[in-house]
Amino acid sequence: MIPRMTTTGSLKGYRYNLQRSTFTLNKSITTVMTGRAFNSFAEDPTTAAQSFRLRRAYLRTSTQYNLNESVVRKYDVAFSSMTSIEKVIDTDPESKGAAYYAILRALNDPDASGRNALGQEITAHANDMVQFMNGRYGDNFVFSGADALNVPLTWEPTANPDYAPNSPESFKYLMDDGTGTNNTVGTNDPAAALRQPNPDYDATVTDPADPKSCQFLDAKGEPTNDPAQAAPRANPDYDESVTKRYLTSDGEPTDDEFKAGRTLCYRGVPVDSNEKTTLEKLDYISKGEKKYVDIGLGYDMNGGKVESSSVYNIALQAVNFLGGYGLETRSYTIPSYTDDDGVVYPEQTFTFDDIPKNIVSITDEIGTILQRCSPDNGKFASAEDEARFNTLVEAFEESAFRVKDSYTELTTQAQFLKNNQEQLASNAYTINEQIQGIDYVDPAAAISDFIFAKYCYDTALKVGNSILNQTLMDYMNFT
Amino acid sequence: MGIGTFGSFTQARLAIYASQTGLTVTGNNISNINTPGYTRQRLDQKSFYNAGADRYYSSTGAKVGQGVLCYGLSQLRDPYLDIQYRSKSAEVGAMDALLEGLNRVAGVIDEVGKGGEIAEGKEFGHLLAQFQAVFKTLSNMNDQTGHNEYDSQVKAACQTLTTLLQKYSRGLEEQYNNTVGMLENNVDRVNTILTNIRNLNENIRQADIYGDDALEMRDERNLLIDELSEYIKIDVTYSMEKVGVGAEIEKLTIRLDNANPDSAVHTDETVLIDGIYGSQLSLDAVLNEKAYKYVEADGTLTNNPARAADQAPWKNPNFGKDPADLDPNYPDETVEFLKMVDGKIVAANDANDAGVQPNNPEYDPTQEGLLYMKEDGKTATATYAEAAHDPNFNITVSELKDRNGRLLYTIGKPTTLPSNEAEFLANGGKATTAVDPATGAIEITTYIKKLSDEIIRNPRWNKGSTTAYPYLTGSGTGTSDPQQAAKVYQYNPNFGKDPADADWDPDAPQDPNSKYILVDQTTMKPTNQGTNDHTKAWTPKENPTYDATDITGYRYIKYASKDKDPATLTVADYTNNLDEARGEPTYIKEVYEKLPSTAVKLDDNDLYGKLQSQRELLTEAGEFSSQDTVANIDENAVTKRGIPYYQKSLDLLAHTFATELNKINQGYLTNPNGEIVTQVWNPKGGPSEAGGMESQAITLEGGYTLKTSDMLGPKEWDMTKVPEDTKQWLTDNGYVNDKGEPDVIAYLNSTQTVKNLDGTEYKDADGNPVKITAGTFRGGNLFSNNGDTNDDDPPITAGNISISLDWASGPLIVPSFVCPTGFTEPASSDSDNIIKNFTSFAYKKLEFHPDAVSYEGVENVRHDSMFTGTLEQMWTNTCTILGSDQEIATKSLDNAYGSQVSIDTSRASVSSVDFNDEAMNLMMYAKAYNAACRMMTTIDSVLDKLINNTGMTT
Repeated sequence: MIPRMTTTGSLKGYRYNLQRSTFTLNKSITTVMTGRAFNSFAEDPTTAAQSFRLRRAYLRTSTQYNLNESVVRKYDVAFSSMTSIEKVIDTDPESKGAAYYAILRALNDPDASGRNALGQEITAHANDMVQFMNGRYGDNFVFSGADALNVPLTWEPTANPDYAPNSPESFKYLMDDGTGTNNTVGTNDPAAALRQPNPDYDATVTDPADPKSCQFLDAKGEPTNDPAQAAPRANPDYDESVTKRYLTSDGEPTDDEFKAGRTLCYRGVPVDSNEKTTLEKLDYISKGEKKYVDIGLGYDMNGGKVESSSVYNIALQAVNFLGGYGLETRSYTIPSYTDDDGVVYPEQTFTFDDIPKNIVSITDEIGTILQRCSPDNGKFASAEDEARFNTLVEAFEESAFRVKDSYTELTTQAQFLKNNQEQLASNAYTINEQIQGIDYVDPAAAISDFIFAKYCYDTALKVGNSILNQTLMDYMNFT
Repeated sequence: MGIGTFGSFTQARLAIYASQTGLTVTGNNISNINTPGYTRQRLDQKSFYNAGADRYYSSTGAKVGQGVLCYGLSQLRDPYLDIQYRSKSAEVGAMDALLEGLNRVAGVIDEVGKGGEIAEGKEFGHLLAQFQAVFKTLSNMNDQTGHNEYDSQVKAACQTLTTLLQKYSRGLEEQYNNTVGMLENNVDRVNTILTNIRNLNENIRQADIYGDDALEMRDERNLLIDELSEYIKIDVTYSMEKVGVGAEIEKLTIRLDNANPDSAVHTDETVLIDGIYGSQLSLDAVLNEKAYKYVEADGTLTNNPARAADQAPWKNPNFGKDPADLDPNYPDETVEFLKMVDGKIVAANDANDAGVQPNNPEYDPTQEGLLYMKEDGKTATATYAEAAHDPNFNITVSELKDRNGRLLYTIGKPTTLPSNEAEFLANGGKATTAVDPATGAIEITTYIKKLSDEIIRNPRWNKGSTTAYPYLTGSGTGTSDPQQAAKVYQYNPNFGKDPADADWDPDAPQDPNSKYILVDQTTMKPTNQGTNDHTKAWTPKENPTYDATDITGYRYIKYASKDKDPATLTVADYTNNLDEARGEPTYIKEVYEKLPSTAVKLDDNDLYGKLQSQRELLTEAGEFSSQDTVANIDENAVTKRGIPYYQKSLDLLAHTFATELNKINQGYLTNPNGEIVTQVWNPKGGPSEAGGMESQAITLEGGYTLKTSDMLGPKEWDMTKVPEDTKQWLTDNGYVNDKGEPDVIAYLNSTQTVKNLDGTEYKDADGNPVKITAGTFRGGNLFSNNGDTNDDDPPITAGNISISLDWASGPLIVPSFVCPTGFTEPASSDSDNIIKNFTSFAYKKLEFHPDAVSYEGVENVRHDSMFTGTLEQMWTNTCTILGSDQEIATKSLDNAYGSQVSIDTSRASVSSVDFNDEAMNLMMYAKAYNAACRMMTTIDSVLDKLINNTGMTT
């Protein structure tokens, strides 16, 4: 049976459909205006979730891009510093202005008259290198590894390796218990030194004029019974050298910081040392210390540690770029020769176990040795100096190669970072493209959808007008 | 019956009436075409035909109807469509309320298209973008470690994040409160509807009794029922109710429509409207436990002593006590028993007079009458309106009451029990009632004496016997009943005489003033007393032929003689008393239970519709539901998600974020191997090898080296990893926790003297030992539950997450705990902790456990991870779940609404007014009216011919 369609029923149905038509029109208007395919999770939860996943990836890539950019800049500065260093240590004999050029001149100069001046120049080169390596990017020292707030390379007064301020040998006097003290004799001082006893003292002698009646000896060695006059008891093991903190460049102990020689330190640790704990520190800093950053290499954790291949280590350690640290053993033989006076000097072989590996230290010591040469004739201060100079020149050449290797490595790293930068930019672009594809509608489709919805709505309005117009009531005509 | 000469006028007049009424009905239909709920009406007509034999048989031989009769108006309605419509209406209401609630939640947390300029691809969402901002600032800090401004940048990003989280939390709380308000309003609306329906029922009932159809009131009622069905899924039934003298009227019953999937539950069939009785819904309030004296067997609190699980006389706790120790809330020590009178505790006379001993251990007499707790959970109140809602928003349906507040009682079929004569006589044969104080049920007992059907009749009974009856009636027949006998009045012979007179009769009454002799009404014999009351002055007319041994005058043989040999029966064995002839009566009693309508506490799933959806929006916590809820209230609770789910998800997110970062940011300095270090003196260490402090891993007695991997948290050590020897050493040296158990953390925080590398004690330049803390603790809580403290207990939630006081006061992020070999401090720009822990936090797949944040009053929440992923994924997942729920609700609503409109259109096809129909009716009735008038004219014309012109010739 055909259902009875009534005026009220038709209006109910019409209202419902008109409402739907309005809703569709409104939705299509929103789509055209926002250009978005969906405006809430509810409209398309799966796509919205996918969109946010892509946005997370985009933001993360963006963060990585920013960080990578900062790292690239740092490496630019590092590269610039190393380029300067590379020029200083250039081993091309023709490279004027380089340290090696000066060294060769000092080595080969027949009259060696300019060795002092060359020494000064070479020392200046050493200082230059330190300054290059102490360069900053922003507020951070570039070559300080993970200690970027502190200057990486410093010249510290050369420490006296025998310095032992509290050792038994460091005290001038002895106390009652046999331990040392630097206090002199005091009446009530518990840490005071013992008084120097009179070896001839005889307690049975009562005549004060008899020296045997005196318990002590005074500062002049004369017997006395006056404790105040008594001399403190000397420490037979006293060694003054262990009380001096520094050594001069000639190896003499001193407490005067300004007279002390200088030692290159990296982050406070002497670079040229074979002392066990010092080497442990340098080993860690050089090889163990990392400063990883996440620049989009697939950050991952493994066994509670960051997977090193998934991050990038930006800790640039100055020692690693300056030929290394620690000391090595080298020998040099001075061939037999006859001097101008006809004195024949036999062949002499020197073995040194304290040749630095670090090019700055090598350069600095070469400079020091050259400055010790005779200002008159340029001769080395000693045969040992001559041998050491030659040994250091060999060490310089080898160290320079190592520096060049690290320079090459830095170049490669900088290039990698630049490539990575491009890769990250490309990734961000691709992700953004995907977001655009998911989130936004094709304007043509959106507009045609809108036009269609508008058409439907307009038609619905027209239909509504007809519903209300046409009934039998309008055609009734009673006479 | 034929029609009389002028009957045809009546016929025409009825036709005019009918047509006119039809036009009126049509006009009413047209007038009400836009009236909501109006049902089109139809005039009920029938042909008027008077059946029966005519006094004068019709001369035409044909019986003709006498016109048309209008006997009523009826509505055109299809009850089946009403049921369908209301069923869909509940679904529309349920989905509409659910979607509306979810949309409001989405208004707070849905971040699609937010956080950036539209169409630039930068709508990252506020919270999501802020999480990334935090990680970005951490990334910057990783690059620029050691500079405080980068710590500040992270702090600023976290500050914004906490503000956002708090804002979202407040937004959700606001939506929660709004929903509470809506639920309250809707419960009020339902109550108004129920009241209106009840009142309409009463009005319709009255109208029905008076014979009025009350169609408009029915329309109004139907509209209300339609509206009610949107709030609650209901079952509407109509039945006939007897109203006496054989009349029956329609009764409307509305009950809940069995919405609970648990078939064992029947509270989902609770009656809301029963004719003129109606109920009201109320949201349960939080009760003040201290205001209730008793606990029922099922644990319900009550002040009805009859319902208490234990019944014992109420003893005064002060009885026999030292007067100095008396509880002022009770009478003094001399009173042994207590009772309640007008809400006050007073002394009872004895154990029998005493009230019931309170069995609620929480009962506090000072809280008497303060039955509810307010929203703050601390203040008691006597007013329901001030009371806090039950957290589950349980709904109770009240007792059914009529307009005057009278309770509905229902009487069931009686139970028949044996009784006896004594019991029957004790109550004088009247019914007794007893009220059960525990339930209010009234037990009505009727006592019935059931006579035996066994009657032994006298086979020789002769009604016409002249000798068997002692008396004669006025018509001369015999009778045993003196009352039926002819009356022989006994005149006093001494009436009007003087005792001195000779004819003064000494045997007659000695009373000259009495006309009659008084007759003993028992023996029916004259006495010697006089009377003027003639009704007491007669004797039955005696039968002069009466034979006292003649048994034919008796109708029955006595029941006691029924077993005797008939030959031996004497007159004493016969009787005219039916009771003597009848067998032994039996006594029974019928017990009726008259039950008062009671309030029904609805089960969690008894409702379906708008109310239930709003309840679920307020209560459903999805995976955060207590397992007790799943076991006892709703087995599907884990999959239902209302506002609490989203609130707790946000809390869990904020809590996880804060606690994980707090955990990451605390610990002890270590060496590169992760071993916790302490300081030792190296004479060759320090700058320039002139001697200095260095770090050294801590190894305790028993060879146990302290590693951070054995730490469970910044303040907790995994003691299962510690060897027994070490534990013993810790205990022996007093390194124990609050419980006295050995604790590595106690050691790490203890003060120790610095040692030299060789293990000997180090002394400073003055020769004094140097004290340090064994381990060097760094960092602290970055987030707290209050910006004024560093506290994380009570737990950090989205609502309270704040930058901790310490962090607000200065840099606090620990970039690294690792001291380079030989150093006592981490390198100045080392960011080991940032890259290893903070950065990994951005990638880390975290397990989100629903029980991570504890809420007061919610226990036994399951621990199983509800989601595994990063923080941002958790957030996106929460939004996706919301989006999916919205999508489902939208589609369900769309379907239900479409169906409802379709059914409504069908309903309209039956019940609504159509202009075409009504136009047809207008024409039909107008034509009928015209025809009737024409008929009148015609009859007038013919009668005129008959009367005035018949027989006249021209």
